[in-house]
Amino acid sequence: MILGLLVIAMMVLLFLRVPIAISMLLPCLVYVAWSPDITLGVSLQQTVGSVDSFPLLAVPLFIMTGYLSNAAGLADRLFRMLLTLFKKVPGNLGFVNVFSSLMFSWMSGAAIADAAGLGSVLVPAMKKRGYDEKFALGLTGASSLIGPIMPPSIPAIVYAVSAGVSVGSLFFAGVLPALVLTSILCVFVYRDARKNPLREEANVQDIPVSEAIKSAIPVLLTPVIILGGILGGIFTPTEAAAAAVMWVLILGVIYRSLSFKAFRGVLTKTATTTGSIMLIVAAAGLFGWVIAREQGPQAVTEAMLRFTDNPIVFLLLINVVLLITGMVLEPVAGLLITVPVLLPAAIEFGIDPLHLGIVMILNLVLGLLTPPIGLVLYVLSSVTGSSVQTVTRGTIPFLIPLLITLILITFIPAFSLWLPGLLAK
Amino acid sequence: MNAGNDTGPENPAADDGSFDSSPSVSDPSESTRKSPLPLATCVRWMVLGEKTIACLFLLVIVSTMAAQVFARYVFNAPFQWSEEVARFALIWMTFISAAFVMAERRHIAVDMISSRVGTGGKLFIECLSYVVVAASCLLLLIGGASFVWYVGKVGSPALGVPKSWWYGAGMVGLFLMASHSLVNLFQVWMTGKPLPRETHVEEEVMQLEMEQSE
Repeated sequence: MILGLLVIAMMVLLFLRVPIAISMLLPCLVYVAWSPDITLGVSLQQTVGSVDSFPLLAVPLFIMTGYLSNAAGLADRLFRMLLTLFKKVPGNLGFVNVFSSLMFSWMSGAAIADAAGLGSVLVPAMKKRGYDEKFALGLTGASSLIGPIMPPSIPAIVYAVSAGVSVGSLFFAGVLPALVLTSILCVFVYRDARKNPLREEANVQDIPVSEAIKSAIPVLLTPVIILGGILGGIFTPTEAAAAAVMWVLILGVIYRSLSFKAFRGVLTKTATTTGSIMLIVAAAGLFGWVIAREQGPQAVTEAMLRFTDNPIVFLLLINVVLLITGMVLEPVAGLLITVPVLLPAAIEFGIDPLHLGIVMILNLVLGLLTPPIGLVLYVLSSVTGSSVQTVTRGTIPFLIPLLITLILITFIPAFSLWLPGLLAK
Repeated sequence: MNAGNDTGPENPAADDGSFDSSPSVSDPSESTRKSPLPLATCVRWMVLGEKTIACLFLLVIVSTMAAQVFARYVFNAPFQWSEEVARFALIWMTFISAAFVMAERRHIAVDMISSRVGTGGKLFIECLSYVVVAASCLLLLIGGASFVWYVGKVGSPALGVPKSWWYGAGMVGLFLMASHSLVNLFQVWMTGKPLPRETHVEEEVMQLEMEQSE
């Protein structure tokens, strides 16, 4: 009863465009103030206390790595290498589009950044060379979802902290699913290239392949430092993020591509993004505490068990719920609201928290591509000048590969669990 | 400070405000063109201060974490205090950043209904959200005050920094957030126009070049 009221109040506030963090906070505050046996001070303890976490330090650091490497022009070096590598391949711009998303994943923890970056450059270029506008837009949108699954990713950090699993393990749980999505999208690009064989392909600057690779190697070392460092037990994920910031900073200084003014801009942008994400984390601390106090997780688990005792049906149900949540809520907020409720039930059904994490993240980021909110759709429309309708129509065919990926990852836990299990040995 | 550029929320409102029927609205907006309202200047300095402080805390996080790795592997003498310093900086950075993000109206929100209603509805929704934000922050401030007082004497394990300094970050940030949303509300009320909401997509655009492919 009380739980229902809390959730309804939160949803009303959300739709009235109250910031997500405050929409979560106010109903909980009223609840705490109303309850005779707890003091209001608990709410400050829970909100501030949930930010006070060592793994969460990786959030601002990875955000900074992204802005910093972009300001230092590192994305461009990788991009030129990919253009050179795929020079002779039919459908080269399509492949560049997909592989850029995979390789930029450490610079753009968010799908929005990836869609904005690649959309503004690749969509006009693809259109000019006879690719269908809708195909170019849809491919850019779909491939931008690789970033939040491929480590390091901000949603993965938030899930790991919220579910109490190791950030490093969840990072590696995301690798194979990201590669699955990448390969399925490559099949789509290949099929499109076969259908349009006479397309004029991009004639990139004529630099030898070896030179292009050589200029990108120091940049390619960044994800090696991050993932290798975590894998080798040299760094915690937080320290790996700090090491990545330092490495990118060194590259920016060596290449003389990072001005002091740009560095200041990077700091401000990092603070802005961190402030808006971490305030939701803070509010979710109180929200989770109130939900737990009202026995919400137990109620949901019981209801689920009464409905079914089959893990496959449960996973299907979770997919539907999360797809709807993702349509309305931004992924990080969606995770913070649903994890405390769904995780205990999932454990009851024998589902591994790492597997659940990848399923949840993929579900929630899919909402970025679907109306009514579909942030990636709006970003793509704004950077390419195509109308939102065109972008949406272009994205629809790409929901098929995305849903195939989702089904594969949901029902074959090995995709998410094999790599972390291997590393734990 | 170039007044033309930095008045931010004031200027677009001033341009439109002159078309408004009530003279009381167009009068102050005329004067904003020459010299900004003291309130707007005040907010601008506040935001600048908050940004500076947040960036300094971010630098603290980066340097202590880098130093922690360095100390462990190069000097073989891990720090006892670095983790605590970084967590302390994260709390302060979070709440101070949240304040200027509120001033710039960039907190993440669901734009489903507000983008589909008329001007009057938009104005109502915007004002309501400022009121809700201010009310929530004040409620949390009232409840937090006694808590901060109560835990004040307990020191943190490695540094001995009193816990009130940790939870104080929330108090300061919430107070700033409440002030910013009340100032925003006041500005909307004065001008009768919604404050502009920038999209900031351009900030995310990467610098990539197709080079000679044209």
